[in-house]
Amino acid sequence: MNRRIVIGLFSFFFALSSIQANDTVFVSGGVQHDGLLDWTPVMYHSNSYADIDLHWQTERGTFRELRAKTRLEMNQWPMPGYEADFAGHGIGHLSVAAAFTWGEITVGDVYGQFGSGLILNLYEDRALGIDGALRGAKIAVEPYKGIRLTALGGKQRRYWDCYKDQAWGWNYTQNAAMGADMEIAIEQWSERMREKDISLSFGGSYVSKYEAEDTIIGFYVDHWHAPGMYRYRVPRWVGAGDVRTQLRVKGFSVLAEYAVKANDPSAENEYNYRLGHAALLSAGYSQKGLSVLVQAKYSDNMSFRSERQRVGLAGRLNHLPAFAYQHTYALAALYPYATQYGDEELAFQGEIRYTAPRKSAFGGKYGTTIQLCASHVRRPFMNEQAESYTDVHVELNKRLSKQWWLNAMLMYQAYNQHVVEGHGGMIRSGIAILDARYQVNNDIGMRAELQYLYSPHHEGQWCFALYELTLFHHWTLSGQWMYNIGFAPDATNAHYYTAGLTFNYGAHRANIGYTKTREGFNCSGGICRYIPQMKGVCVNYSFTF
Amino acid sequence: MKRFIYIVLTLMMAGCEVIPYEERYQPVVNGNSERCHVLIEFTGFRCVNCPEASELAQTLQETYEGKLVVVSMHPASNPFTQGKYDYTCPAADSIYRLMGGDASTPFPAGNVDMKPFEGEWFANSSQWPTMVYEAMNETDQPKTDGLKTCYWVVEDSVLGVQAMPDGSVNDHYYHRHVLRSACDRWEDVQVPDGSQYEHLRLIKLTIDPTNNYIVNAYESAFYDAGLGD
Repeated sequence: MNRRIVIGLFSFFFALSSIQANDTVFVSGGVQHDGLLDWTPVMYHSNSYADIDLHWQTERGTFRELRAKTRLEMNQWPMPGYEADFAGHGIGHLSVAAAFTWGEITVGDVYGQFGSGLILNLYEDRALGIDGALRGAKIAVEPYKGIRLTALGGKQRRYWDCYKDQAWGWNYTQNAAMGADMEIAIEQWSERMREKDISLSFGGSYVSKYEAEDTIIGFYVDHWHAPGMYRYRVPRWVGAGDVRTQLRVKGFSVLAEYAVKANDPSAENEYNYRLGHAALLSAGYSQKGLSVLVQAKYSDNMSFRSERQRVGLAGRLNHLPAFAYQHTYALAALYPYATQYGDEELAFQGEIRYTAPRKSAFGGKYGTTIQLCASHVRRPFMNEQAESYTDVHVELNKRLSKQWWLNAMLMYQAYNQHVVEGHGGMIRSGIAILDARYQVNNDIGMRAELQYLYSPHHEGQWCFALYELTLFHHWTLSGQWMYNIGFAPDATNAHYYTAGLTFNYGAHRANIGYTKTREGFNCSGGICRYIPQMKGVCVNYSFTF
Repeated sequence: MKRFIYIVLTLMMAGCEVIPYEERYQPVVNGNSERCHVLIEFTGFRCVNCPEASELAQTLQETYEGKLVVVSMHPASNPFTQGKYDYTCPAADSIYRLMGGDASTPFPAGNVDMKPFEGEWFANSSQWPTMVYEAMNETDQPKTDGLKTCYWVVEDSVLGVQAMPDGSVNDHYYHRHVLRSACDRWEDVQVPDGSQYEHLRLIKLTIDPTNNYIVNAYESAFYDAGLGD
């Protein structure tokens, strides 16, 4: 421990002494604090982060930049909804990256994504409390023009206990993951393709995880095995491969990707040895004022974790792209869909966005944007339980005058609660949203939202109202109210409200308010964290530099 | 650069182990624990996957007859137990919250001897056979001094409602070994209100008070224990 500190300090001061007059050295970072004072019982929950990044930019031979990143985390008494082992404090991230003209080397906690992330996507999402970094190393090089190679490996972080008694995460005897990716950009070899604005790329990746064998017992019976207790022989090494291609011709683009995972019995897939598959097809077209996107996805048994016995949000090596829209309006986000990793899933998504130009019949004086979106997720069989999620919505965005802006949305949603939460049935709902903004003068602005959700299922009908008043660019007063009108079997007729004051100044943002929120799910990219009902005084502060 | 590519290719070739079908499942002996262990099954009438888990718990109890007691707990803090029908009891909720359970804990969840398994208090049902097997084969000598006693009253075959895996609702479902009450003293053991006396069983637990782990258990029918009318 002491030897490590001495070596670290020596390296740091050695690096400082090497700085020359024409080098650029700067520090960046940020502070984030989200807190809730709850008085039943009295308890202050908070998630706090402080990032400090040191940059040293220079030009010495092939060496270009050195970046040292660290993140302090103070989550001893975390916000409600986080797992017990999320609680803790310490240095959550530490890495040093050196950039050269030929590539980049990172040592410490590394992130990365291969292709669309079907077999590897390591990222940090603070809102969900996920940090999937590998403690190890990463190297990215461009050996020839148009060819990029990336390789990484290490032990994955899972909250705080993962590095305990594991040599600070550098002990790979229990589990580790590694992978390599190659991306070839054909247009880099053809000037004619570049002239015609055509790009074509091919990519391939391979990821392997290692985990020491452990005892897994289950009841098993089939044609060859008599009913009884069996010990499962689990693979210590599990490999997954991915191939992809992407073509872009002016405004048109198409992406096709396929991934396969070898036998990987785990707690999430109930210890089955089936191969995992995922296929993704995406086509898009865009020109001035118009964009169209159509996507389809199939996945089966694609849960890929660094530890086979773990379940929950943390510890995933891959990420399947979400095929459900991430809504920001409260009632549209009441029933969000979470991607099902272990089960078979078929998903489609389409989006058309058109902006009518100014001074046209539909565009009016300031232009109008209309967006039609649809997504449908199902299991690939035909019965009434097959539908997992459907979302069809049309959104209109229009500036009415110099002072007025309007956004209106109509939405149909079907949410299979049984698939996502394990209980309940299909919840079908219709939602209407009106969002208006009025700028009184240069110093005073206001925004109001009215939302209504109709559903004969679950908790029935809801209404929501929000009002925001912005004063002198820095101060925002806001209040919102949500009410369960009812007319359904499980109606609660409950009121939920939030009122707060926000202060913005440069890179500082501070907020204080009172909140009472409904239990629900906080989702990002198809990954959802359950948040219980909360009430109390909320305090938020963030600052970046 | 070539060396780098060779290293990556070598690791890729080595990094996958395919287990042939005939080697996947190896029969195991049932273990030789001298103590009786307790499998706690956290369940709820709205949990569609719980009936299958309950079947599994029953199979485990039959496999380890006399050495495994199964107790179903319906904790009020979890939404799977909330609604028109009530199979909850305060003791189940206290134990559930003592282990860190809350509204977000997925059901069915299980625990053996109120000890964490793989660092987690709640294991999904696919992990239950492993948990029980490891408890039956543990080599650590249990503590014998300074233990406390606790009594759990469970009711077998409670006729009620249960959401089923196919999405239907079974109005004639028998909830097995449902925890009805718990107390620390023999003289406080009573027949819970609304319970069927002939279906009641009493479980005497020996608990390590330093960590609340169950050290041993003894189950008997209520009438065998000399309780009730």
